[in-house]
Formats: sequence, C-alpha cells, structure tokens
Amino acid sequence: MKFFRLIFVEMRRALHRRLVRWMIFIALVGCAGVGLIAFLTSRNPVKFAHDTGHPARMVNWWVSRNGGESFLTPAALFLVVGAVICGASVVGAEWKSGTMTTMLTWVPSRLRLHGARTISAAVLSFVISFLLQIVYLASALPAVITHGTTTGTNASWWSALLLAMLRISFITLLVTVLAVSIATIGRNTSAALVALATWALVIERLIAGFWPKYARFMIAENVGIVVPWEQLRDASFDRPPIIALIALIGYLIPIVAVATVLFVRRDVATT
Amino acid sequence: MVAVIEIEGLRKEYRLRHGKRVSAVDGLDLSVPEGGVFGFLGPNGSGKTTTIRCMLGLVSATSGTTAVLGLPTPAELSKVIPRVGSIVETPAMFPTMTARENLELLGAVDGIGKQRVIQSLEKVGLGDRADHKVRTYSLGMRQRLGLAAALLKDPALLVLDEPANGLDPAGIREIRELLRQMGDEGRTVFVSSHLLSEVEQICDRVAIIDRGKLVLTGRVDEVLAEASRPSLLVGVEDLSVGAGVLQRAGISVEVEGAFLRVAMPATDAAKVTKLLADAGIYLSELRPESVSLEELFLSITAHEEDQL
Repeated sequence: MKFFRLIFVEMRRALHRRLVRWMIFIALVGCAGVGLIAFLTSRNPVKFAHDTGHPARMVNWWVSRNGGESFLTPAALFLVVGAVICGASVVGAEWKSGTMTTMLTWVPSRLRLHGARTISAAVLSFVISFLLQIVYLASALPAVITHGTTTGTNASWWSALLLAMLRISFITLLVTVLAVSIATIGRNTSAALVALATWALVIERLIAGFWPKYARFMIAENVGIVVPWEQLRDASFDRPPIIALIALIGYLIPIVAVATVLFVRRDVATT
Repeated sequence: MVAVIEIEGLRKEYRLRHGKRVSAVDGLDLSVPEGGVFGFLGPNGSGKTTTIRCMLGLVSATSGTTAVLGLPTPAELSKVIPRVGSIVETPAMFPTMTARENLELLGAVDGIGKQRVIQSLEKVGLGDRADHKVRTYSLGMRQRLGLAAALLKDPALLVLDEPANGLDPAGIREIRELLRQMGDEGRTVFVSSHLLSEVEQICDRVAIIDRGKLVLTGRVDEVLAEASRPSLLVGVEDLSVGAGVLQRAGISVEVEGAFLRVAMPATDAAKVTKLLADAGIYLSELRPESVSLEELFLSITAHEEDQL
C-alpha cells in the first residue's frame, strides 16, 4: 500500500516538472499544427488525389511498412525523443535541485524510492504517449471528415492500429526507463541525454556502418522492427519482432540493475 | 538519561580524484540526551553535515556506529525516519509548486493529511503564504518551509543543519523562538549552526567538533563556567594606580583594555571594592569576567590556524 502511495506521489512530482509540462504542451501544439496542415493540404483536390499517403485517407494512419509509410510512424520518433528528455529530466532535476535529499529524508528505503520513481516514470510515459497518439490521430479527423475517406478501415485495421499504438507506447516506456536509469547513474540530465544521443546517433550508426552483421544488435534497428512488428525493409539480417523486443528488454535489464545498485549504495554527499 | 543520538567512533573518509583520502569525520563520539535543544557546533568543514548525513543514512560511514532514537542507522532507518524531521543544508522544494502542494506531496508519502500540513505551515508563520509558489519565497521563508516539512511528521527528534542560514535578524529570532518552543514541548532538537550567540541563547547542551573530532560537550552553562577564569573586570579612572593598590594587597592583577582583570572570584568582589575605596579610588564598573560561547568556540577551534 505504501509503495503504491509512493508511486502515486512520484507521478505527481513528475507531472509537476516544468519540462514535462512543456513537452506535453509542445506535443499538443505539434498535433494541432499537423492537423491544420493535413486539413489545408486536403482542400486541394488535385494535390490530394496525387498524395496517396495523405492522412485524410484514414487508412493511411496505419499501414504495414511494406505498404508504405504510416501517418503514425513519425509520431513515434518524436514520442521517443520526448520520453528520453522527460525521463532523464525527472531524475536529473531531482539531483540538481536537491529534492533528492529531501525525499531521502522521507523515504528510508532507497530501493523503494528508486523502484517507485522508475515505475511511475514508465507508467506515465506509456499513458501519456498513448494519449498523445490519440490526439495526434484525432488532429487529422477534420481532414478525414471534410475532404477525406474512411474506406478500408475495417475491424482488422482498427486492431492493427491499436496494437501499433500500444507498441509505440511500450517503446516510449522502455526508453523512459533507460533514460531514468542513465540519469540515475550520472545523477545529471545532460549527462544522460549526451550519453544516449552519442550511443544512438553516433556509436550505433558507426557499428552498423562498419560492421553490418552487428546491426541486428543495435537498439535503433530493434526499435525499427518492433514498432511495425515486421522485418526492416532492405535489412541485411533477419530478426523476428519478438526477438527484437526481447533484445530491447535484455539491454534494459542490466542498465536498470546497475542504476539501482548505484542509487542504493552511493553516498548522497551533496545537496 | 536516554540518548536519542549515540555516535561511536564515527569515521567518514572521501577519496579525492587523485586517489588521496581525506577524513571528513575522524573518530567522532557523541551522545545526545533526550529532550531540549542540542547545539552541534564546528567551523566550516569540521564534519557537522557529514555527521548528520551519516546519522540519516545519506552517506555510509567508513567505520564506527550511529544510533538514532535507540536504533542503529542505517540498518533500522525505516523505523527511524518516520520519527525524525530533518533539514540537511538548504531545504529543497519544488519551486513551481505552492508551499501547501509541496508539503501535501511529502505528507502523502507517509499518509499525512492536509490538516496537518496547514498546522505545520501556521506553526512556522507561513499560513498566509501557503498558496504562494515557492519560487516567490525569500531564503528565510524557504528555511521556514523546510522546518514546516520537518515538523510535518510530528517528530520525536528534529535534526536541523544550519536552519538559520540566510535569515535576517527577525527571521533568526523567529527560528530561535520556534526551536526553543520545540525543545520545551519535549522533542529533542539537534541543531548544527555557526550562529554561536543564537546557540548560546536556545541550547541546553552543546558539542563542539573540529576537524571531525569532538573537542567539547556538555551543558552550555557548565561548559561556559568551566571555561571561564574566576576573575573580575574592574573599571577605574587610573588603571596603573588601581593595579598598584591591589598588587600591594597581594592580589594578581593585569590590565585588560580599559579594565583591570583581577584574579578573584565574583564572591570576593566586596574585598576589591573596599581595598580600592580605602585608597580613594572609585569604581566605574565591576563585573565578573565571563566567556561567551563564541569566545570559547574560537579559542578551541582557531588554535591550529593561529600556529600556521
């Protein structure tokens, strides 16, 4: 009971972070902007007829990779980036502001505190990213209703869309936990962001470029398989989606374990 | 007397970047009895905050033991923390939240209700600013908010690290009265401070540490009485004539600024006045020489720097 109370407190603390609120606000503004662009571009019948992937055709909201790019896919990238920034900030800011010391004078078990913080960040990330996906898709509704079509949106399409949204939310959950863990190890938001960006944008790209046979082990490649739940297009390797998902979770476990051990054992010698 | 804080042989070493080890606390022994206000004094870097952090499980001791409220820490921290209210260095709260929201959130950890939050804020004089964002608070108000947070648990022991930091004289007086009130309520207030005149006014007992070691502890009045020399300060118009009169009577005298320091206890003041009056010398002032806590503190902790 006390642990659930702590998780709830941690959620409220995270939601009070100015950065988290700003990121949600920016995402909502982005959704509104995308919706407006979708509406305006759907008004020109000639252009609309040529744009077969336009979100005013509701079926384009989610299509298999081999059938083309989905309207939903770019949102996943922004959600992942936002989740990394917010996850790192939730922990990093606690160290920077000194509220970590305050919390530790209230919660004697560091394991419990770290566990509650990680779980709360994960749950919030999942829920917020799912809700933002709904807002993002809904932003295209005016275009669908006024100029578009719902043709092709049968029950199996709806379930595919829902599963894709859940997978994207799960990926944001995983990267949030990763960011929380790295920020816990570094006790710093910037350090966590730099470390994650360096890994994802530099080291993984170098490895994938110079040693393509190791590309299957890269986080980006595995995320790219899990989100559409199918093989990467033009990939030189064959990796079932479930293996890609297990690989992502497998990477996370040791990092979470290291972060937990360090959080429990290290001195809190400065405010 | 039951000890609420018991520290034995506490040692905390930190490793510097180049591998050299430095002791922040070096074999500290300390016993804090139950009830009243206990002043924990020491110059900057003497190990006060590290000692407090060790007691509260924020840093792990290199060696030695700490017990709080009769339970060893950090082993039994889960039983200790709910009964201890603390401020460690600057109390940190969410600046974008109001004082009430901050305390409600902290209180929610232990299932403390909103009524108790209001009571705590009112107790530290922040009742009318409860719904203002913490970022609009002055440093003094933030200190008081930290104190309100510490009081939220209705603690048996308050551990306060420099609670008067950054406060103006009026704020210091408020905190002083508040701490005294806490001590009189039967709680134990363990307060580290460098405001020695404040400590002297509110503390029942003190401990002075220097370079991580305990150098003196006891009741404030006893400590000061022990440190005071049994002497009188006598003000006369002509110091050399007055000194001559007393020296001829076999009394040890030395000139101390605008006074004569007479090596006699206060109970012999009448003898001094009679001797001087008989010689036609009239006193402008006569008082027993006392040592303030500040003088005592400086004499204990500044000696090594003096030698440098």
